[in-house]
Amino acid sequence: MARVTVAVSPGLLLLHRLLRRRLAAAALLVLVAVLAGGLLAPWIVPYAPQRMDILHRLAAPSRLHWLGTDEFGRDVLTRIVYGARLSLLVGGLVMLVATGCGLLLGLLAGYVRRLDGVLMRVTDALMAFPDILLAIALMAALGPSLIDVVVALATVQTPRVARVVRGAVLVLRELQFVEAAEALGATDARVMRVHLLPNLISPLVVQATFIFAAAILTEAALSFLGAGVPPTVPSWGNMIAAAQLYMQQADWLILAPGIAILLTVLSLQVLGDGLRDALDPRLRRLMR
Amino acid sequence: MTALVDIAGLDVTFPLRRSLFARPRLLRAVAGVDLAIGRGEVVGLVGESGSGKTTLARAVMRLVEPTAGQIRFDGIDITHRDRAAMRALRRRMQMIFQDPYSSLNPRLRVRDIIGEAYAIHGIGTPRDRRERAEAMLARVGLPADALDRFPHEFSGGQRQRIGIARALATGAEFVVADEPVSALDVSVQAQVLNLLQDLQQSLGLAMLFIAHDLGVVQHISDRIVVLYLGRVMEVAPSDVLYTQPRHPYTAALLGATPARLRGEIPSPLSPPSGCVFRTRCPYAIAPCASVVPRLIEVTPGHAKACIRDDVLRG
Amino acid sequence: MSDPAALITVDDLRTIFRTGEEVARAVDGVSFSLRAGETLALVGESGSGKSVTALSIMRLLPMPPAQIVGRRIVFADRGTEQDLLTLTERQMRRIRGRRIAMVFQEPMSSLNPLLTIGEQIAEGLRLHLGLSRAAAAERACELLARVNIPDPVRRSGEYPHRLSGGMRQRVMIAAALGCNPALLIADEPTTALDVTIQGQILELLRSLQQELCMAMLFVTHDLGVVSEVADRVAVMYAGRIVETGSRAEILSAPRHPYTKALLGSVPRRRSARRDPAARLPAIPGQVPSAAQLPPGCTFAPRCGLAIPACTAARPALQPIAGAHAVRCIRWRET
Repeated sequence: MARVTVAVSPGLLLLHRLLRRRLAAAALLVLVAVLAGGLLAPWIVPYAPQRMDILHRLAAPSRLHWLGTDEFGRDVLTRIVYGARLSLLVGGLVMLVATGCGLLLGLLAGYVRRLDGVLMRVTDALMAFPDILLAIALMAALGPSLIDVVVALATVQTPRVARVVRGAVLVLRELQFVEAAEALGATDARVMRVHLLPNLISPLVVQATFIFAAAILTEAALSFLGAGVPPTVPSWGNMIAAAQLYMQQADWLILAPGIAILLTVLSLQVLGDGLRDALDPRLRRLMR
Repeated sequence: MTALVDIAGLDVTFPLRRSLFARPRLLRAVAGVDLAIGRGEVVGLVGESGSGKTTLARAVMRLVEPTAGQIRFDGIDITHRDRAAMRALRRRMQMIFQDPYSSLNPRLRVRDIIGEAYAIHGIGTPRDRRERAEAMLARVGLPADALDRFPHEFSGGQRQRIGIARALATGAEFVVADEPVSALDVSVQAQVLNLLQDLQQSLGLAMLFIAHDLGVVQHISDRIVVLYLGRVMEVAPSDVLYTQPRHPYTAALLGATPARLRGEIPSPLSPPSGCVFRTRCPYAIAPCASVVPRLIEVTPGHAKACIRDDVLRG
Repeated sequence: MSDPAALITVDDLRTIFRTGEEVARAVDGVSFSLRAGETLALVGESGSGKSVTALSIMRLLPMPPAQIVGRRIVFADRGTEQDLLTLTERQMRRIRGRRIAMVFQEPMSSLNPLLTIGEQIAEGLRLHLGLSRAAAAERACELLARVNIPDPVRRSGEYPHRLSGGMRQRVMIAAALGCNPALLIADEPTTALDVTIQGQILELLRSLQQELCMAMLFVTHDLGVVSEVADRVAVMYAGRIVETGSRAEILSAPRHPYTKALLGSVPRRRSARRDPAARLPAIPGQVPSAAQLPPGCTFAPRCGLAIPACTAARPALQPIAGAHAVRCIRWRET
């Protein structure tokens, strides 16, 4: 009986290994739900997010308002879903920008020896500041808008990615297939594009999920402190800030956004862990 | 007839920085090596750890910059040639690496691994590159469907074949084989060695075949160079080296010395004075510590670096 | 074929690895015995199961993926006979390092980089023999001297990274012999070492073995090493022993096609004049995966003498003369 062998790309292998871990699969489901909610927000919410119903302000969760209403009578569930939209938007943008910039910086620092010293001192300087403080300082300089939040958070997260990428490049650079490419006459650009970049995808994807999580948390913190997006935009962070006054009488106002943040960030972390395990080279060696 | 590869007085020294303020220590990996490889000739380079054979290989391929001396390829001085200028020459000189598991990019399919050679040097049109790659694979004994697979689907021996195909894809005339079979099982070693021998003969390749074991290079080499701590100990045609070694180190490698070598290989950071082999040599005498032996011809084509003429004459 | 004077008798050892749905039969029915003072070389390439055999005896395999399914390993030491496969982990720990010691291939990863070599040797002595710190340290120095490490007192205070590969291997051997074990298992101890150092280490092992009257199981792929240390040889292929006998019998008069081919494919000087047309006799194909062993004789797909009867049933180990036995139905024609 002939055995059919299929060429399995490393990417497919990864997905397969990842899904075999139930926790990571569950986390993925949660995130897909959050993503779906965020994308489909305008179509699935029961009320408009700014619709105020003063008569029914601070109403406990009921059939009309599944998660109750806030101090202006706005439906909490609606605002949570729109908050998801914001978190995902900010988180996603920050992830993309930070990953992109960090990748570039890390590649250059790791492969081009002359640039390594300079770039690493810059990242050291940035990483010396606590994330929140740096974000606040940048927001103060830039002003309160969505774009500025993204810029500030991306600046905070880029050094981390750069470090991880640089570390990976330092290892890859010594592998014989990179030497082989150099021996063939490949230019630096080609080596980085064809040989380093594809092998960096793995650590990068893992980092990206953690950055996503960190960005959501930091954005919530900024909004909580009033240093983030304008207060009219529903954000889980400013929802918690506003809910502080009503903690005694309307605990759902704090619980809802709090749990939303918890679930999303936790799922991202679990997913990141799952990815990292699935990419573990030790497991790969067992397959040899 | 001028040699294809001519190495003269090659010196490769690495500074090792211990701390920011201390003066860096110098590691002289290759010390004053002369070596010439003719067209179609196979030179075996044998040495243990610390012998500098790997560094020498990389210096010849200009993956590492020599500190002193000269390397000429087909008459062209490539000692300090920059990367852009080297690119055209790289078509003619290629390398086969030791580790089958890290010498192929795990994310590329075999067709791209071999195809890179064509892409970089503009060989063939994108359409016929696949055919060329297939022909290359057939030459190394692999089926055409291997092109669409990834390295992890192949065994060590098969991966080495892919590495050989990659090295020969550009039509190189000179190949540096850096311990190409050391990481393979005995039965697979024989297969790959036979393949290399077939290819070398059918393509008329000049080869620098590096190994740590004299047994491996015997079949394929015309001449053999024995290296110890970056210095040449003995050079001889293959037949002669095995039957009439004249340097004590060569004899030890062949297992021909009655007594075992004592002691450890010294660190290249602090080589012994005079003859670097004297600390382990069963025939060492007092002058060995003060005189650096030069490579002296014993018979035409056979030279040794030893001040004693009275040993190993049997 | 049991030997009453044997120190250790491995009886039909079978070790499998479960990964997902696949079952890999890494060791598929291996039997041998060893007496005190004797060296048995277990020879094979990668995938032959020789290392797994050694690790199975020591019960050092991670038990979820690995599983020893049979049958017995009888260790007759100091008057008592025990089946190692039935011992609890606690009981095994009293034997490991003390009565059966092991030396591995990569000394750098076997030595703790954060402990001095004196401390590492002393650790085992304190653990197994209950020696005091001072006594253990002193004995450690003695051991270092015994393995020919120059200036042992000073060296015992050094960290592993300062030593060369050959030195580290000597330290490993010193640590292994600290408690005077009855059996030493050496898993490719010289493979990672330079050619000129290998000989020193082999000589050391031989002399220590004679001095301590120790049995030695020497796992290797290098036939040259076999000729230096072995009294008896067992050749393994795909989890089974295909031929066993004395060193002279195996190296000079092998009868199994695989053994013959293996000896033939070693690149070694054969004649005075080099023949450019000569090629090494290579074995076609490659070692089968332990998860997909061919039926019958596992070497049949690569064997020049294979006939249909070879794949029909698994050949038994047939005695030829004395202790020389071969697992091949056509051995008379080889």
